Amino acid sequence: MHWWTHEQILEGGSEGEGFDSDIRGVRQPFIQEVSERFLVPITTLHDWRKNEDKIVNRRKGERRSRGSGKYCQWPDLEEILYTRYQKQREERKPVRRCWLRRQAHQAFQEAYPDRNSEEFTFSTGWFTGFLFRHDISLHFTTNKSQKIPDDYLNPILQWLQFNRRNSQIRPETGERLRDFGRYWLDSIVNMDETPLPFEFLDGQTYADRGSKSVQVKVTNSGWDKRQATLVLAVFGSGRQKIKPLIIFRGKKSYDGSRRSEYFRRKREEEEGRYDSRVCTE
Amino acid sequence: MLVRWIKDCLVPALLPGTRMLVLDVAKFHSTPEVLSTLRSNNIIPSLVPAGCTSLVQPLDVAINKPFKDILADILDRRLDEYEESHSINLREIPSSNTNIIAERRVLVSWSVGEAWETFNSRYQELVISTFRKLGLTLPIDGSSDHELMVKGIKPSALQIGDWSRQTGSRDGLGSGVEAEGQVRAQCNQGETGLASTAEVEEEAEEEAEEEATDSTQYVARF
Repeated sequence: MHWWTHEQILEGGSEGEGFDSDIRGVRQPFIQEVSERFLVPITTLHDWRKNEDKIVNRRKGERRSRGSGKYCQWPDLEEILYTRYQKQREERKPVRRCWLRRQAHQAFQEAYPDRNSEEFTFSTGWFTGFLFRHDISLHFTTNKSQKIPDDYLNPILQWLQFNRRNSQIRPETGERLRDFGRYWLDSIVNMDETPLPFEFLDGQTYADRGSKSVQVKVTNSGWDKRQATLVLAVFGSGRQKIKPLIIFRGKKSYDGSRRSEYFRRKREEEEGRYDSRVCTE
Repeated sequence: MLVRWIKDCLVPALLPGTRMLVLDVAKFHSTPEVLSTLRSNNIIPSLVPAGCTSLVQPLDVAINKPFKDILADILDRRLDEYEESHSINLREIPSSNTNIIAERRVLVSWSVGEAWETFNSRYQELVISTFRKLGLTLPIDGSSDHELMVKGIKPSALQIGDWSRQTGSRDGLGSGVEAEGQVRAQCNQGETGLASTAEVEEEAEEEAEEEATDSTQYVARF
């Protein structure tokens, strides 16, 4: 694979450098040809032409300025991939990373049949760039909004007052003044549990940035949805001292006893393999 | 589960003294066993009113969302990388395949660990400011109450008042007793949708006390 610098491409655009001899030294190539030759979108070339002085006079190693990060290496691939992404989303099907990866590898071979398929790697860097260039972001599809009671003002005020009242020092118990009344800042904790469904990612899809309601047709695959429960605790100080707890569940079935026995053994085997930054149960 | 979590995870991480644990009113949170465990460890439960968690529980207000975004991203990436390197599909496999379930569990544990670390390095300020906005970590004399912010409520309506002077006179209302009163009241409310008598009385009492914040009134009253 050959890498061209901005300068070489700009030079190629004006002098025909890097082109075959029927253009080189004969005529100035059309911007379309430059775009095809160097795999740079025409709009990008216009931008570069506008800022030619800045680009050419830039010192070696100087960081690319803002905006030039949009330079993309495989424009044809991205075009194919983006078209498929749009089609998938029009059909309200979910788009996740693994889907995009498979499509990207296919698209690479279609766009550049002469190239070795290993030239393209679906790297995190490229993927992030792709999402950025096409204004795509990860969205939650399910929005299970909790019903908020009509009169929530009073309960909330009472709750605020309860907290305030309970923060007061009670001299009769010999308490001392701490960061907040009777509490240390590191003693104010919020804990809650939240489900971590097996198909956690099923509730999500890549979609155009800013889209309001992101719908996805769900096919029920018959999984046990309750893969795990996640218990998080946060400290008001911002210093988090409690590891997240993941409670995995075995699937309940007719032979419940034998199965849970099996799971217990399995879990013990796995013990050393879990991340030590979390607790599991 | 919760009792074990309090004993094994929460208590060892806390400083000595009185502590406060903010919980939602979910059924399992307010069992007698949980309450007695909290009391014996000097932890005051602060129960978020039913249905209001999305408005005032720090985790729901500002923390779960960014954390889950990070987690989803990391999990998606890890599953994908694993699938690519092992050439198997971890997402659509028969549920009887316990090997694959085990693999997924391992990946989930690493993803949660990584996500928590990322979250804590990126969002510490957010956590701190969320606790302040919800009045949990504001000075107890009310001097910074202008920072209060609850979605859907006008800031002018958020009046907590200064409770510092009533302290001495509120004997007989020990923290434990009071907390349990709140638990009962809120459980009743959650089940029947009506404020319980206890709560109405408490409310009346609170209003009376709030009126007394003016010092002359305060003196006159006591």
